[in-house]
Amino acid sequence: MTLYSDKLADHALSPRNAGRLADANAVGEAGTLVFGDAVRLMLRVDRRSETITAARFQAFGGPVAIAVASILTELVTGRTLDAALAITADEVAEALGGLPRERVYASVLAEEAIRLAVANFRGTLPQDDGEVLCECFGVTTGLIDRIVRTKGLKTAEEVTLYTKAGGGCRTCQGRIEAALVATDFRLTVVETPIVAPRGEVLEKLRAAGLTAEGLAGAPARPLSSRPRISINHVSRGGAAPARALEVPEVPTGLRPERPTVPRGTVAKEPVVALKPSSGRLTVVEKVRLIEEALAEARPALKRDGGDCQLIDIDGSTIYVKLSGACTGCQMASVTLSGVQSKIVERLNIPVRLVPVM
Amino acid sequence: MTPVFLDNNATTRVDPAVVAAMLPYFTEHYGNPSSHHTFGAAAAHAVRRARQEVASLIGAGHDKEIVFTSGGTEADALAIHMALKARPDRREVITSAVEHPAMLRALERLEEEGRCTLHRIGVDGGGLLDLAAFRSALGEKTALVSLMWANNETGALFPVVELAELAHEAGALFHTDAVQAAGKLAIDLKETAIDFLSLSAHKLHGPKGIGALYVRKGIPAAPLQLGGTQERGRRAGTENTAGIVGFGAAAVLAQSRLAEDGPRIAALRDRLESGLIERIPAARMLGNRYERVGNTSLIAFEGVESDAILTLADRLGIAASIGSACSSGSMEASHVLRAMRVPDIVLHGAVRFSLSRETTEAEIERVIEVLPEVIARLRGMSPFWREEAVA
Repeated sequence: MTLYSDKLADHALSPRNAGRLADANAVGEAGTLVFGDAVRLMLRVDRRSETITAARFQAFGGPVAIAVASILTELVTGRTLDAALAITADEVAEALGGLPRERVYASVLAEEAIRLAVANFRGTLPQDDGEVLCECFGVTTGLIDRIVRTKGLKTAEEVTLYTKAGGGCRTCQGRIEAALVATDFRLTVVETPIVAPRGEVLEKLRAAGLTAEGLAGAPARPLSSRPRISINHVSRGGAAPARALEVPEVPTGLRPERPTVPRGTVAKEPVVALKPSSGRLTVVEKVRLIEEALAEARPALKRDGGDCQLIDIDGSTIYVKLSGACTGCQMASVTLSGVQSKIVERLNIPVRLVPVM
Repeated sequence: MTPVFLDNNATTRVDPAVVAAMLPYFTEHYGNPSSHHTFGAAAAHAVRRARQEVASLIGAGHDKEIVFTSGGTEADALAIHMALKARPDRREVITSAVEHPAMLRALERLEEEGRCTLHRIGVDGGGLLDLAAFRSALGEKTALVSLMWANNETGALFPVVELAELAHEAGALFHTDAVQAAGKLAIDLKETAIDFLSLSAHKLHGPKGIGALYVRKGIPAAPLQLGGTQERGRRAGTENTAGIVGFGAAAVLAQSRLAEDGPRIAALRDRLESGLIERIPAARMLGNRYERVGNTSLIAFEGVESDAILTLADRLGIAASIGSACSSGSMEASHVLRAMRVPDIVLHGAVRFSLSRETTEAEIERVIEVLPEVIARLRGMSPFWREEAVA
């Protein structure tokens, strides 16, 4: 109990709204016996306004599971279903004054319980949530995919903290890594904003006839089911790139099709943190190295009908132009990521690669 | 209301007599036992005496077979190290699936480093060793067999004396983690084929931070810690004189009280078990009822989760635990209960009560009185419990 905040301890020892709800018309049960924690959220929802007029819970699990379920009933009561859906795991944790790190999964359980209760009410329950990826805790690919995307998880350790997957016998670690990679590039594919060029750069583009009008009309290319681009994973705040991964065949349930990422989720551009080199490169040297990197990447791009060209360098920002089939391609950000890594390897300084129209 | 401490397998209260025995070695006889002056001599003398006392507790043939360590975990690590060094031509190690993490993790790391092949022998539903599997794993490539004497979670006993004989027949060395057995049952190593035995003082009303490894005479010294000739070259480092003295004093007390305390504690444990199982529906003990130490009771309560039970019980002044204290922060269920293939509906609701010679009848009655309410309250809010389901 010493690990817990006062609020958490209070809700654990004197839970609110515990027990069955008579005439509940929406029930969501997240977690299972195998998982080791479960929250059943029972709601009474006014049909016309979709407002939650009453909420009770049942919970199986330690004090954290009970506290989370208890505060959840308080958070949802009085909200509309949509407002309840907007409650995040973080909010639940914060409402309790924070959770111990190794119990973060309990807040995810709360989020799932709301989601399932609302789906139960609206009749939109999914048939299944993908196959079981982690046998020890019965965690499905669907859940992992969802949590990785909505919370922007980057490491297997984070996946374990949020979903318990990989926290037991650990034999599914490899599959978790694969799921992370598969989800990560989808995030960047959909959400990386294309920066509109400004000032000098825009002038140069106009002068070269390389503006949006000239590039419009290129057809979007569908994703191949087995991407062959190598992605260099770089750890945050760390040193050199860990290893170059060939993107493995994605497990069922994570096949890269058009994903539905909730609005407002902004992907992070690949952040590269490297030790700064001792000598500074001149602009000419930088251009030469970048052209080398692009030349190395070019054959693969040309094979798929596209290209990437250096437009300008501004400090550590490198403007490039993707052309041909690369424009509008869902894999654009992945391509950029790969090119960026090649550039970074050569320049040995952090850079930002920005595609321009 | 004074708290009831029923977590003695995690640690025990140091006996006041042990504390009294230790105190002079902090401020009066504080010399380094290896020093040649009088200060050192007094300390050395105390260490020698304590060595004899610990040797006597386990019936060792010679007190020189006792190597003092910082605890049971170090003793386990040292045993593995010495055994593998003593059998360089053999690379297989046999252990059980229910060993303490101190043993399992040490062996697993060696396996990861490619320094041995590890066989984990399973257990039956009562936590008893699969002897057939053990026999078939044992062979001429086996360097070491390590099997615990008593399990820390269930209290289940392995027939280590017989198992050691089998190991010797195959030319393997035998180690037993007796951390939970020492002080609870009579141990007489002279008559056995046991080569290594781990002990820990704080499980028998001694101080924390001191343990011992029994190493049979004739096994070559192979220290983990270097830089001194203490413990006859088997474990370098200035002796924890006060701790060692405390260990010796605790050993003497344990040995003298064993005959009397043993049955009394077992009777209290049985009373606790039957009392709870009578009053609480869908509660059952886990582990073999007969082949176990006398102080441990592992009871599983269907439909509720142990962490929640313990938290509420703690508020009511009752301290118990789940399985191993060493793994209480993890999210994994007990590897011991998994190995026993305990079903999920009860696996998560298992609570371990472990008594000591200080446990009283009044304390046991209090637990029997208070716990049913705790379980009922949790079941009232459990999605996996239905009142109607109970006959």
